[in-house]
Amino acid sequence: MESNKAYPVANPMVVFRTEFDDWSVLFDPDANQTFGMNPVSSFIWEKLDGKHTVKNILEEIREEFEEVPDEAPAQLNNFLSDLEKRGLVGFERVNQGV
Amino acid sequence: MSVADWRLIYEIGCANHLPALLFYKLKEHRIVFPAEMETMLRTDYLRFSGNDLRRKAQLHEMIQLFNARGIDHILLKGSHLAEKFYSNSALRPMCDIDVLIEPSDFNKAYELLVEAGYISSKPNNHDSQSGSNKHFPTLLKEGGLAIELHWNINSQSNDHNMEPLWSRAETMTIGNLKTKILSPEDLLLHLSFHRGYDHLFASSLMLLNDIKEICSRSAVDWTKLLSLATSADEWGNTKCLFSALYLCHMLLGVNIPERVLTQIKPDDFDKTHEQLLIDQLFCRIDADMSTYGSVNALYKLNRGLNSRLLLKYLMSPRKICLTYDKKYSLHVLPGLYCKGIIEKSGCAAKAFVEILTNRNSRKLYETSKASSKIEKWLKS
Repeated sequence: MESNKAYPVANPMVVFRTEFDDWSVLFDPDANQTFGMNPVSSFIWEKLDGKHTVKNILEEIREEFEEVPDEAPAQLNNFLSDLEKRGLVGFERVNQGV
Repeated sequence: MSVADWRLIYEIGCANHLPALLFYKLKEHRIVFPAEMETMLRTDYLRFSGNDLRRKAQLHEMIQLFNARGIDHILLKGSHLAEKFYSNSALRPMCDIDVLIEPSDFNKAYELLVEAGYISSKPNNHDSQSGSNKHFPTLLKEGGLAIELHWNINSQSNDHNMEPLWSRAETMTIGNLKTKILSPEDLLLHLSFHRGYDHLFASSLMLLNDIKEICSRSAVDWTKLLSLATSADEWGNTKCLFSALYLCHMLLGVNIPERVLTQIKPDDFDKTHEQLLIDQLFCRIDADMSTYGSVNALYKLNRGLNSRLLLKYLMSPRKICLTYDKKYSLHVLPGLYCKGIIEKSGCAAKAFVEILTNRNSRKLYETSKASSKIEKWLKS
């Protein structure tokens, strides 16, 4: 599992298209693959800017959506791991100093 | 409406490649529909949107290659419409990228696309112009849409002079790339001609929406349109244009000037033709094109042999070589003709047995019969 101190960043080559109803589509031109994303996944994707930690993203999900399940932290980590495996997301780690 | 009604609407939408547009419109008008249908339509919509992103990347690459080598080109049909007239290009799907080029540019364009990973669907006849579809053999790339390089877009004549059409073409910018598109008048004529003459308006609801978008987003010069449609040196066909505009006006309420419809209305057009055209729009060919082709041929044979039909099925030596992708030479011809006759006879026999034993094939025969009536009228 990625550390909560890590800052996930979306692969800049990936095209993100927001649809008219808050769903969205990702297009990875390198793999020529596309992915449909529901409003929660789309919301998360927009936070993958290298400025939000996983913990920050989780907090913002709780503010934005109702009835966020208890399993949300695990689901978020799984989602990010899946994106990382597909090369759609990387993680930046900030040095905490010695 | 019942679930069965919704399912029928969905099936018609799919037959017309319109599920994304259907989903978008239902949502836009806040129409409540069954949850099962919503899941199916949303999945289709996201798939169409993903395909559209792929297509955009592919189109961008193609224009970039052509511009770098100075290949003048005009985007046709789907790419033109999706980029210029649809606010959401995912709503205008297409199965290939059609481009008009000068025949003299073909070798340059072909080499560029081959270098970019495309292969010809007819490697032994990749530069053949003998097809009836006015395009060179299709270029294919894994995971991408086929590219069709057209040298002519008039379905009625191979000798059509394309120069005036090139001179009327407009420049358009996609991203940071310059490309060319047809004038709105030529676009309307090309679309109606293509769907009418080549497809007899079968499952052509998308054409009506295309025309609606064109009319609402561009200033069509109706006088110019009429002049191009009626001039023998230009498109020289008004039946397809009239049919398309009339259906649009009648079914979608598109504002087509009355004088335009009056001026090009064929003398023999009546309620029977109107119904035949509507039936064509909603007809569903639940079979592959080869089966449909065989059933269609059987229907025509049943009506009597004629020289045009025989010529179509016997094919010219060059065309039969193209069909089987063999390099043209005299010694391959006997074998190819034998192969062609055996294959066509086999298909016809199979279709005949299926018409006798299978209800769907009988339905297909009836569809073919109706199509033939409209074909006779459109091409007369």
